[in-house]
Amino acid sequence: MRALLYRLALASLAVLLPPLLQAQSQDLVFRDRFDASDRPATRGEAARFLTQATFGPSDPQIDSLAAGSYAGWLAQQRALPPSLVLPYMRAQSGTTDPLQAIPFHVYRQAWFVRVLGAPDQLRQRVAFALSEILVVSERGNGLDNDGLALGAYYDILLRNALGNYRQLLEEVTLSPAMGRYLSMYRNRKPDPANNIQSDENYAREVMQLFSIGLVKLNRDGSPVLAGGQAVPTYDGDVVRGFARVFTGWACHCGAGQPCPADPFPVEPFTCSTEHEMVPYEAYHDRNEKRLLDGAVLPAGRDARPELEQALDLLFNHPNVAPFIARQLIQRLVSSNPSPAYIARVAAVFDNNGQGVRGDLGATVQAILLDDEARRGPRSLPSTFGKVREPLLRLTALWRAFDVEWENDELFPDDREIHESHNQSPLLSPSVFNFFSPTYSPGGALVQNALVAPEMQIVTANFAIRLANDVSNRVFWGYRGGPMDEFDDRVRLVLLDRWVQLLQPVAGGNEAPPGAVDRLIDRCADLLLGGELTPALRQRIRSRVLALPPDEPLRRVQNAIYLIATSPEFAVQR
Amino acid sequence: MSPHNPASSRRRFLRQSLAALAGGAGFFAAPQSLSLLNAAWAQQPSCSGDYKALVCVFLLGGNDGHNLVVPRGSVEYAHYATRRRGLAIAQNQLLPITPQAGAAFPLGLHPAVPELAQLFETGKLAIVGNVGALLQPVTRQQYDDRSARLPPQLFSHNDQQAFWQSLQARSATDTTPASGWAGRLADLAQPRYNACASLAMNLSLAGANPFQVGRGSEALSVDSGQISAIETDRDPTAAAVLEAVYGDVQSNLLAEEYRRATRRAIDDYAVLRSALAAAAPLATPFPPPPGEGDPASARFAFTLGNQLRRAAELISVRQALGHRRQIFFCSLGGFDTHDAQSADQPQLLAGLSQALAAFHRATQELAVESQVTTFAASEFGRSMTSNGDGSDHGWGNHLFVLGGAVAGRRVYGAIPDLAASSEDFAADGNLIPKIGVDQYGATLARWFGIEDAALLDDCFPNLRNFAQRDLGFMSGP
Repeated sequence: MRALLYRLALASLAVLLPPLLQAQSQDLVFRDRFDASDRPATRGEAARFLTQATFGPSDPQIDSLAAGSYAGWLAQQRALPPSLVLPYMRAQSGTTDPLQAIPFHVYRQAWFVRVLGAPDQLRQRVAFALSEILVVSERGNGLDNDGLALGAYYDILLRNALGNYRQLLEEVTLSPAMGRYLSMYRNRKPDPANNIQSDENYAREVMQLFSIGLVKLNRDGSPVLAGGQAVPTYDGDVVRGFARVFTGWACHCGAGQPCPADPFPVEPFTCSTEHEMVPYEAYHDRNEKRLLDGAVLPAGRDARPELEQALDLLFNHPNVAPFIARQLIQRLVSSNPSPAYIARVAAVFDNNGQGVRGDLGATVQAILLDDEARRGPRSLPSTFGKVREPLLRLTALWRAFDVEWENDELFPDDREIHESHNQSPLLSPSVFNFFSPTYSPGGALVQNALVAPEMQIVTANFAIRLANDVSNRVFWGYRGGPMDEFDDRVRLVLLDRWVQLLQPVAGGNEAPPGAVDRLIDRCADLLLGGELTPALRQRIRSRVLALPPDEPLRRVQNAIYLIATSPEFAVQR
Repeated sequence: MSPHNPASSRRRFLRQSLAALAGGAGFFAAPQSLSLLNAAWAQQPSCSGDYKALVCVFLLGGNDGHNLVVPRGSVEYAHYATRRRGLAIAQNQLLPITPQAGAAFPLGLHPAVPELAQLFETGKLAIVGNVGALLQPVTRQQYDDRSARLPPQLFSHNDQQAFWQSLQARSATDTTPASGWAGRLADLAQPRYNACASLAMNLSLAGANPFQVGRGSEALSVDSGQISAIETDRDPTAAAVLEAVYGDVQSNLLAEEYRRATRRAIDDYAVLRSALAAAAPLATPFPPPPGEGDPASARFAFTLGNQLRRAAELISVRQALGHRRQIFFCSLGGFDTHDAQSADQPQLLAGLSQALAAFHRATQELAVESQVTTFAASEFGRSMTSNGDGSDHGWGNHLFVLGGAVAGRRVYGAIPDLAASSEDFAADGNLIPKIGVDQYGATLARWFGIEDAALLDDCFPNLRNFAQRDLGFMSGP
């Protein structure tokens, strides 16, 4: 049903669109007054912005952005309500029972439905970025095939993606999925008589990965140095202090639900994996705790007020702004942001202009509107950008070519998307994400002190598989192609309007004059932000012109294939 | 294999070695390279000769070695059980082993690893007790009063994986490229042993890792599945054009790195495909894909076994690849058992044991049992104390080495004293390692063929801080 609506919406937009030829002449006007102003100067510029802010540009989206301004688009996006996944998953599974398990593949299906079609693209993109910072994974403690817990977790990210980081941190901390994943669920106060300590897992990772990191940072993200050495943010005693803070939490039991009165001695998870965890004071440590930088929590406190205070300490630590700013920039815009760029974004995280700390919407806006984000390809041509994440390559290709499908369920190949892409939402191999923000593949990059985190999963075998995946999508998975009618779950790209562009005029044998170059330009706008090297253009041009003019479909497929598999497309700039 | 030409091979040797030793920064950037180079050149390169392989099996998350190698004698077991409330393995469940040397008290292995116990008893496997990340020996007092010089971020997974694999304690301002000890080892061994090879000595079955990054060399990631080629079956010419696109140098450094790496993959995989296509299939069975209702151990055995099966295949085609030396990196994740350890760790260990046993049989089938040495690695050990139903991040750990060349059925290093009065544990409860990873690695590297002390010090930058440079597990008593 949704898919049908989606297609209808696309079709109605297409009627209103100017033909490609008209758009081309508009670009010439835009180009004369190019600057990094408040609106895109070209279709390529618009596409570049949308590549950073969404799951990939499409012509309707470019038109919509070009009709307004970046700030207007952002304001509109920030006002959109979240398109959540769990309600969709429940509807798909035909269940209303809050305890009813939902298989994990339904979450993956929901993720694809949302990122390909949901209007709140900015929120969806930021939530996905956050899922790679505040990591939980189905490959982890007790979350095997638990679509309910993981879907509920992803909705926390969606709801708070443009909200406040403090609220996000608390909802994440108390989510059953994270409770399970990093074993805060059923973590108990120490039992010295039996030589048992509190579990340090969440205490360690919430500091190292979700808030402050291992070493003290300057505002620009560089490490604070003392005698040439980095300064640790915490030590083992602080970890043990936080470990005792995070004691006494287990699952919520709703009215009429058949849960045990005391879930601590019980396995497995018998109550809601959707509702936030609740305190069981008998298991909470009430001793004094020494936390960050000498802060002391007095003895005798209940679990929740103590947790609130501990999260406040983390949230208000000066590291959070540069630590989170850098990673969000890396996920959305560029792997190697300049220190000044990090500092500018961190300043907005620290204060959104109205005295509010941790405003993610304002932080994301600062990331996307920053001069470095908008002018990077020109101001830092050799280092700006990021290797596209494998999943984002696929969504960009699909969205650029107006993907549609009949049945929301995923075709088997797409259900096993990690096999071809080495990445799948909420399926990281560990809490350290699919790749490290500091990973560098070596060679020229490391000699220039550059990182390329995504290269950690785009290894030799996957670089080849990703290219072959594009071949499958373009040469097989298009409307009217061999996969159409074969299975209604296949996502299909629409190539007809592109084929029309190359169709020989009535009575002739050749494509209209200039049509091949327009095809390449249009594809380059969508996939490369309009930036195509002369060498690649020449290779595509020769290839397309070598194909018979009466095979316009094959010409279109070759042009798209060669762009979407090129090293130029592999790096988002 | 190309015919051996001394003059051209010396030129190639100089070019490759200087690039390797200087990290590609040029000859004058590394004047100390000359002495290393002379030492390496003294060992004549050759395209044919003996074969050896090292196989690293990295247990991601920090395997709990305290429950892999367990005291079995009544006094020591009682100490163990006291320290490990809720995590201790029942005494009568332990698999007894009978070390011929090195054990101060009776020991048993975890009940999930009968294959490893048998390999130990037949002399193919050695245990190395209490190994860990060290820059230099550390006493309990130094650790407790915080005066010890320690590797950075001892209890952090990613930092300790990086340290274990690189042995480099990098300062915050250090911008020189990091390298791993297998990468450095390959830089040194390449000209002497693999001068005729077209593929890297370092082969990863588990993706990118710091271990196999050299100063001038890099690892090749090899999938355990199909070795792919660029394919456009509906329009084959498109694939050929794409391969040409990957010959066009990019000016953006990220795009250029992507291009270069992919170009290399296309070329290297072509070599691999033709070599593997000509290979006889392995007869040794490896763990099959897990079926519905199988225990988790089946999945772990398959995950690791699949990597090791591909390693065995790459060993079988070593001559076609021109490889006299190979280093493999495999990994198995899930060992971060903060929670439900008593349920999860046995599954992990069972999968590990089954996969390793299959691989050992494959080396026998290929008649390289004594030329392939497999060694366990993990970023850290775990806390001796329980957190109720799991263990937390620790430091010292017990590892093992497997192969026909291993002086097995022995314990090297020491399994710690677990009495309440033990001096082996720091005041905060952490087990202080007695053996550094440098010593563990250097023992393997000497067997691999790097015997020169200066070269070993180059590969293992902390080795000079330890008196015992060879732990003896590759040479016997």
